[in-house]
Amino acid sequence: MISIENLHFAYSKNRVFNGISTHLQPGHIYGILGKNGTGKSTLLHIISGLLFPTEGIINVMGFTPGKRQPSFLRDIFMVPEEFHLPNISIADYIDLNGLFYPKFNRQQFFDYVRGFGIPEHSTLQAMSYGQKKKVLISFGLATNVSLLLMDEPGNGLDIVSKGQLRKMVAGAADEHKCILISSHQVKDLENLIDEVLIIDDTRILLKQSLETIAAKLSFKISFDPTDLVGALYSEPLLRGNTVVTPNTEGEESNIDLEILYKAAMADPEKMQAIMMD
Amino acid sequence: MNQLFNAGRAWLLFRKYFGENKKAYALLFLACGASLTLLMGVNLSFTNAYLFEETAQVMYYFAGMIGWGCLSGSLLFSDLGSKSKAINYLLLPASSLEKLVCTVLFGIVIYFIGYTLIFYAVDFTMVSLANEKFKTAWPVINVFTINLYKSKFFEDGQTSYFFYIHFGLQAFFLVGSIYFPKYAFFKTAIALVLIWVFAILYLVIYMKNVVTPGLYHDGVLEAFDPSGRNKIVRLPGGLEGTVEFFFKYAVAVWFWVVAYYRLKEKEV
Repeated sequence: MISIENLHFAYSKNRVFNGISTHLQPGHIYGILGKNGTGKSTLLHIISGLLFPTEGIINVMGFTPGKRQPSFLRDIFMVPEEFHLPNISIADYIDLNGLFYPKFNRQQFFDYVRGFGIPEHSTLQAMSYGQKKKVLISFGLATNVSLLLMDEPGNGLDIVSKGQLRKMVAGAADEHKCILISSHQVKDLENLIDEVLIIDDTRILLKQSLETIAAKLSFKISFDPTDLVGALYSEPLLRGNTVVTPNTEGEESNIDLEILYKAAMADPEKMQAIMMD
Repeated sequence: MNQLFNAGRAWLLFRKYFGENKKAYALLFLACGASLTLLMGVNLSFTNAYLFEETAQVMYYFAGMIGWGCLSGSLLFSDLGSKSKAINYLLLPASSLEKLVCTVLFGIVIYFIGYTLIFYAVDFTMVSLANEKFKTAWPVINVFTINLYKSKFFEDGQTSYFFYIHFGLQAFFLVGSIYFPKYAFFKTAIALVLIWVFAILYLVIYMKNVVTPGLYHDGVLEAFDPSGRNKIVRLPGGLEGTVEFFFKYAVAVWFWVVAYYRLKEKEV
């Protein structure tokens, strides 16, 4: 669905990507993690055609995104971090925008809006930032596009709504759709994504399915100081330590995305070596 | 599916544009009406009845149309100056051509029609009041026979040149609204003044030293030596027609084409 080959991108002299290559497939929810300013949003903007790579090839569903052809745009939707909604009613908004997306489902949209607890007949003007974001997310999910891009979707949402968002996104996913979610709040992505993509220092540091990660790494809370010796990463808790070790015993453990991210950032080379094994 | 222009998609875009901008256009037309009422109302308070003669009405018509046209033109692509609005606009499933046509249709064609209707409403009222007050019989002007009212601004008195100036300037401000994300009106106005100054300097300083010294008839089509008796060059008459055609009709279209390509290459 998305093929990126040797992609370079820079904002003037500030290099963001230095020859990254990757392939993203339908039927997956990808979580893009990275520090502020590492290029998470930039990657989403390049994939959607809002930014043009300085070098390299990007192909999304057979299109070159930068051409912004209508056939391409009608099958992608982006929930940006900074978004704009006009000052009209929800009904007018979907009447004026829904028809641009052939698979838009009005009923589904209102189900999502109700799920977020937003009154159907409200006007967008009178809504808070969080409520507007919920409307936009609902609209994005109801478009049923093949490629859904969400940039920090959890920002501005309360704790209950974040849970609701995870539930809705998981419910909207199917084998034909590819969903990319960028976030610096790792907790927002837990129990939602099935592949993780970590960006750091102009490259893709890690791209792996959670299944593979679980097979290769073990996450546990250890009270035994000897476990720290061979650990890829450890973090002290009030009692004991959270430890990430190579999974040599084939034991099952729950992946802690935050700890995985910290482990990847702490020793990128070692993490890559383990994943390549 | 046609990726360049599709009537069904364009219709959806027009609907959306109208639905989301109708209040802004209503305010624009109200402002046009208010400014014309203010201008003609102030003139009505004076004792000079000639402030309502036909040529004066023509000036009010064009002053308002060009002034508000440039101002509104500089706002047509102002969404591109805001990241959130630009994302929304650029990712809307319509082609750049459809987006440009929609903007030109509303911002230029509908503006022109709307402004003209409002002008007629205000002008009719004010001229009637003026005729009542001054015991005159000034008629309300007809913008479709605008050349009947000779303009002192042009050698041949063709008042319709103001239409070409209006559409050219509005198209220039439309391009400015894409090039300058912030303060587009002021920056475009400054750019316009700079281009004007540069053109004058080019003609007065540079061209004067380049072209043959002597006398020129018919603009620059015929050049004579300084005595004025010997013709030294005659440029083809078609050249004048080409230049005239360009300045009358092609300037605005040329700026729209520039806007189209600028829109296509816009990044956020």
